[in-house]
Amino acid sequence: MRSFGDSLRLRESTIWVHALHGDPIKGKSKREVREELGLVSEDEEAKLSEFMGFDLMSLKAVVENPTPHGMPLAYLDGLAHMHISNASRQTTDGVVVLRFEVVGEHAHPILGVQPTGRNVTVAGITWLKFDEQPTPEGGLLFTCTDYWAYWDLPALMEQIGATP
Amino acid sequence: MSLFRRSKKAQATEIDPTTDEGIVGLFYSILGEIVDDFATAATDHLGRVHEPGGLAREKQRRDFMELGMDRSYLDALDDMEFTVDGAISVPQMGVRNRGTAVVVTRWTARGVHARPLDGVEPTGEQVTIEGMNYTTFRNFNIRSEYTYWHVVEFTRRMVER
Repeated sequence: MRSFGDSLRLRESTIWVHALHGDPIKGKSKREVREELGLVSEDEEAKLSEFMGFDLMSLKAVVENPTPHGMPLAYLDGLAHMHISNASRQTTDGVVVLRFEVVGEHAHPILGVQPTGRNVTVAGITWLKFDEQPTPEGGLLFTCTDYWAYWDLPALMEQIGATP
Repeated sequence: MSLFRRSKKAQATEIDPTTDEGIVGLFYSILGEIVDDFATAATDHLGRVHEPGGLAREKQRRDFMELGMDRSYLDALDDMEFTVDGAISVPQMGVRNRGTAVVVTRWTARGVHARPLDGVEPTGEQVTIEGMNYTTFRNFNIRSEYTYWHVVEFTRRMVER
């Protein structure tokens, strides 16, 4: 898993946080465009692959409908114009932990509180658990099976003028 | 593939430090011990925090920045039982980064809701708190700690209404 962690870039973890928030990032990454154009990659991934003795490009990770635990992401239904960012990331055996921040407009009801139109910030942390499976092509596929999310509910309620 | 799996393997077999393989095995073995040491330090610290008056005592021992959510549940619950559900430990291995690490801990605490908690009057019933801590170490001491938590029963009630 460490090799997976070493190759994990901020873009990948940002994609996952967006996926968990029902707001998938669309479009191609620079790497995908380079692959399509057949350009020889000289970026850090290629250097790392050479250093580690195997092709890191053969490692893929997917986050698709993992089983949720912890707090439901109840703010999702109420926020519009969301901006999602990662504050930090830690990776180890089969686990990736992301601290995240979501900024958005309170445009729809959240936990029974009618929309206020205020811009609010939600900070939280999520723990993603991955299973590792070999692929027929000789690579490795890391599938996110479960995630645990905890976020600052009292701070959100305070921002939208509600009490528990 | 995994450093940590290698470290367990290295621990299970005899290490001959006169060979290249032995040196690599020794490295992973030491790394495994460092990983375990930081994880134990963080989880023991969290266990002490959840004892009566524990947070103040921990901060008195060695002060650290408290980030994320206020741990108001500590003052609101009696007879608290604290369980670690999972922990990851990520030490920095550079010579200049000795004593630097991040440990993330998932945990569950159960206790009797005896005093007001975030505006909710005490019910006298047992409640379950689930949470996660993101603990950073510098010079082998806790430097900062993010805490995120919720009362399972309160959240369920809010989501259902």
